[in-house]
Amino acid sequence: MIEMMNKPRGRNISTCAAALFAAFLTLQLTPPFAGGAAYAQSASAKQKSSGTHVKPAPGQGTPQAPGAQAAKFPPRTPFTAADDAAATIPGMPDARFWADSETDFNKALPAQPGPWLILSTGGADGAFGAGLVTGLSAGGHRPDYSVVTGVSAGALMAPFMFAGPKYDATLQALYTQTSAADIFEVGSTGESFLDTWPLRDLIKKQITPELLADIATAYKNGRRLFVITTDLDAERSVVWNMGAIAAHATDHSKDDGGLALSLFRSVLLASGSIPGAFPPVQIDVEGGGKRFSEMHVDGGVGGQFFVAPPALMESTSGYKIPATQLYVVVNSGLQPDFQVVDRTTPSILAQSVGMAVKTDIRLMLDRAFVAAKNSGIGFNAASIPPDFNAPSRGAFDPSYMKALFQTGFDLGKSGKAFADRPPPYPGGSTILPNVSDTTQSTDPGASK
Amino acid sequence: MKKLSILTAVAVAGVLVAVAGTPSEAAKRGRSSAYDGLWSVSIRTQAGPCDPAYRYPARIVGGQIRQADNDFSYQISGAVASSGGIAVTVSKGGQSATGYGRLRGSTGGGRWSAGGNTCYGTWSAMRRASN
Repeated sequence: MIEMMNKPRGRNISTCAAALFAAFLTLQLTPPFAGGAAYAQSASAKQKSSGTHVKPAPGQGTPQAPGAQAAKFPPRTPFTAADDAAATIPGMPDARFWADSETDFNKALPAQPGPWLILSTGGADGAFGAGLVTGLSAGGHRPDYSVVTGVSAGALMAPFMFAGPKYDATLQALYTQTSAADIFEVGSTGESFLDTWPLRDLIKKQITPELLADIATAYKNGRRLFVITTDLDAERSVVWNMGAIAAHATDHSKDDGGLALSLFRSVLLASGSIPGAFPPVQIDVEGGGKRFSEMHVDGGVGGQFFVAPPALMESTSGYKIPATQLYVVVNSGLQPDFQVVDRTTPSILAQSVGMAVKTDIRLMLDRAFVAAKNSGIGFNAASIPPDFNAPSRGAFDPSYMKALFQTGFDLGKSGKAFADRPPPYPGGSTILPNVSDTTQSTDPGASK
Repeated sequence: MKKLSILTAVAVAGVLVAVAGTPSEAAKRGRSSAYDGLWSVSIRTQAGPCDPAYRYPARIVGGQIRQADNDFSYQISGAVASSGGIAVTVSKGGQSATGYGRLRGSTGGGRWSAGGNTCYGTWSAMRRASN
């Protein structure tokens, strides 16, 4: 979700889980008020004598060991793997399913195939996707997506894109006017090194009953909006059927107390809650005859984007994706990002994890490409152009995000945003790819 | 462009303590002040190579600032007047930042600068809890 590594370079390391491991280490090793800015400090300035960021118990002036912070939370209700495997949201049995369940996935899909929009992780780089889809609207290239999936940053923008161009202005404001102060507050919560109450408030403000009503209507018309979180207890990804939740939220005869609206907002927060940096989100469930809370974190932990259950995406599965076109928006650049790495732990982690995330995205794109070809449908992928190099002054720099939004917008409006195959590797193969002409994109918005 | 991170840190800390400062009359008498509580301070940079924006917690007790997240690697001095006017200086490693402004009820705001105006901007604060 966020990018705390304020490298003095053109583009943020975009993707959530990775960069944030380094982010919380940065905070661990630097004064809390220094935040991301501390990244550019010298190693000597960063290192506290203890090497660890500690917080005192309320009313005490003496710092405690970090582990002692766990005492501030009540003990969790015990539950078993079987309890969790069977757990559902009370009153909303259709709210979610395991991301590895082929049966539940197929059951949740629309009756009619259509174009699918897949939105990746990316933190502040989500401005690219927001701009791109808004640009598709402006250029008349935007289809009605029958399925929209979002992970982390992709999850936060997905509801607005699913609900249609009516929300483009909201999307633009969110990704060009939001700063780090609107996302998090520096300071340990005991579960994380930052507190996301500002993001929680922002989500509450933006996810309105009107938006949910529009999403519920689209759901009833057969379209689907899926958001992915990670059930950390189970180490499994969860797909949330946000349209179904919205339908519950708008059914006032059943949703006493706004539970569905609250769940909708909590799922979005959870999907972007990078473990370690942001606190996990507890979600109340019922399973095995008892009520307990699951711990959910960033959906990016289980993969940078989601098309279908992993087993169905295997190149040998024979699965046919029931879509007419697959559009994957990668809120990240995929080129190597040269950096003379400082001899500090955060710098080394940031560069390493940033590279690992790009590799993960590339592998996932390749898998999606093969799945699309095996399904006989068009594959379309867009990522931040290699020549985008606007400077970023820190986490969620509005100037940087505006520039990235505009880049995405221009691409989207041009009608040439998408390529029909994954971006080539640097210094890529000279062997021509074997791509069937029968599966080339035919929808507007896809470049040939 | 290399950011002036230490300055940023100092400046931010300056704003943190801008909601408190040196012992007020209330603090000297060991009494609570009208501004006691947990505050959240949003700092925005208008010019200079500092971070664009960040948010930090701060606690005021008896009119004195207490860093909500313990860190003693910087020094603070300043005051919150009963009128809500504030002036504060924060220093660290030979660098310093200053913040000025005013609190009114449960909100507040002002300006900050650091490093001989290398960076400057605005801050705003909101009280999230009264204790």
